[in-house]
Amino acid sequence: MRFVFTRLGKRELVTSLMVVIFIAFFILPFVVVTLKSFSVGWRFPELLPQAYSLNGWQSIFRDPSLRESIVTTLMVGLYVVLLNLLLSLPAAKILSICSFKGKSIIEIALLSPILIPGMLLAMGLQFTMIRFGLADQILGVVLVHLIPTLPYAIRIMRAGYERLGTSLGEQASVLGAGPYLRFFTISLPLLLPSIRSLMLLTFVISLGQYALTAIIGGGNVMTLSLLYYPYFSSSNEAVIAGFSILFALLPLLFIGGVEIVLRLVIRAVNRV
Amino acid sequence: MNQLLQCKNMSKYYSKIPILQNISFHMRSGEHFTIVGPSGCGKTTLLRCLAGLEAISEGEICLKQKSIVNLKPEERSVVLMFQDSLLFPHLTVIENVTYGLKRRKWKKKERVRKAEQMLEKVKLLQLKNAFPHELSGGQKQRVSLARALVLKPDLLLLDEPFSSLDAALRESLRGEVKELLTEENITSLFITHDRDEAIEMGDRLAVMNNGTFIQIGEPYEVVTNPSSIESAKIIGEGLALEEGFIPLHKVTAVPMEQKPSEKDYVFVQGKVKAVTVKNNIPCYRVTFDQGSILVAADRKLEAGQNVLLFAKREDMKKYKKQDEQWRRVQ
Repeated sequence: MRFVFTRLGKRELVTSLMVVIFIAFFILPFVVVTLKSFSVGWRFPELLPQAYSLNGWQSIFRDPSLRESIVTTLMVGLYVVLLNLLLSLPAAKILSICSFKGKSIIEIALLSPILIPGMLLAMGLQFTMIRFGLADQILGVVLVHLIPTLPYAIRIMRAGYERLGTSLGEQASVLGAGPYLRFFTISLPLLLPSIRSLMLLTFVISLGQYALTAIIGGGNVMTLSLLYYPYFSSSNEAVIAGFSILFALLPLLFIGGVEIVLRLVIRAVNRV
Repeated sequence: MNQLLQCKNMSKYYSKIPILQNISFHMRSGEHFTIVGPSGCGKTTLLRCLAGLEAISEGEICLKQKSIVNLKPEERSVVLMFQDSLLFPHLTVIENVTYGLKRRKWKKKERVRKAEQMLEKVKLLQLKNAFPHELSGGQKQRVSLARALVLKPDLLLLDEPFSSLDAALRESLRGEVKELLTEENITSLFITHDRDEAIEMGDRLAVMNNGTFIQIGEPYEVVTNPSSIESAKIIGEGLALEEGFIPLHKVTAVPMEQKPSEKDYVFVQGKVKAVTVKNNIPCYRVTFDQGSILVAADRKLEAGQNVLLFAKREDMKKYKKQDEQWRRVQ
């Protein structure tokens, strides 16, 4: 131990410790789950699986509703993210720039969905949804997913707008850029970090919704989580592991795609 | 009359508190006009109103004989250069400079050529592909200037553009900018709280206090003949007293004991705060009830010493009633 201390400085020691912790908590579980999905009956004391097979993956992909549910999940996620962006951008801008009477009330109202259990709201909303004919439909599910996502979205964008300030927009306007151009050439590229975290967060939250989707979707809207949870009762752990990986890959896939689109848009508006 | 800009009785209120009151002035085409005033006197608000970033509460602004009051900032041929350079951090220098040209739908080749020409003039062509964070403070301001000038606006507004730079850089940039503005035949309105800068940059000078102009005139005239004690305190180089203004070169400091007996001298009691050298002459920073002044003396003085500032009574210039001249100016 002393040898380690003398060879490495304090700083290096802390750094390597952090790396070890990072690997142990973030990389290792992923490796384990991946191995698990290809294993047959991997039990506790064994360090590595005794046998490997594709059975787990095969039974996942044999599930007829899988492809449909992935498409539904991506669609719901995409709509939720887009609606969140559409609603949170103007709301956050006004909240960060303007000060007006009743602003604090609006702020509290925007936070309330986090404070009040979503389930409670969903129960009440279901009646309304049924009346408007939105229950059992993708649109209804998308709308109900706004409850747990929108408050976070507004918070994130608000912080972004506060960091951005108003001066660059003013500079752009005196240089001749109207409101839309200002948004696409200045705000959008500079808010990109916030937009990115908004999209990731809202997509992941939407992906993980089970109860809300089940209540409003009424079993008609099959998202991946609705398909996934029942598998927990199956005895085949490889299947569960495979599903977990699929679950983790979806947001990455989504963000990757969105990132490419965003970059293309920004490059198109900001050429010399 | 070749008047480019006319402001008539412009006022601005923020929740009933007046920020600008009844401001009227005009600018000729190609003229460099400076406004000097203490911070918080409404200078920046005035520029923001002219640029269209703030709406005015009353009055009229005409550019080229057309009212621009109801135009949005992007529709006015007025460019405001802010105190900070405000370069767009995600764009390179050349992209920053072409930003405005692109909004005016210039062809790509044209706008790049024009931007490169302008960068050449501000001596930064070699940095055209750099990002703003790679530039120094002075370089950023130059890019910002190039970005404004390349648009050839009818009116360029400069809001203390050098205030964040160090003294030496400020002085060198001042001359450079004025030269460039004249060369490009740009009409400019420059605001500052620095009196030297105001005098050097302007063909005409306005002194602003509490949201209104208290004197307008040629820089030399304004500096040597302030029209009121407020104006004298802001811009005058000399002793600003209630009853009149004494130009600096007529004021001397003597030790308290050597009070001249003649009746035709004006005296003010003061105290030497610091000893310094200006233009190779020892000078003394003397504070008195109404301010402080940098003054020469016949004899050597020391910091902390009580002194008398005095000048001949005949050298004192009375504050003139400016009403008549005022009307003529406007």
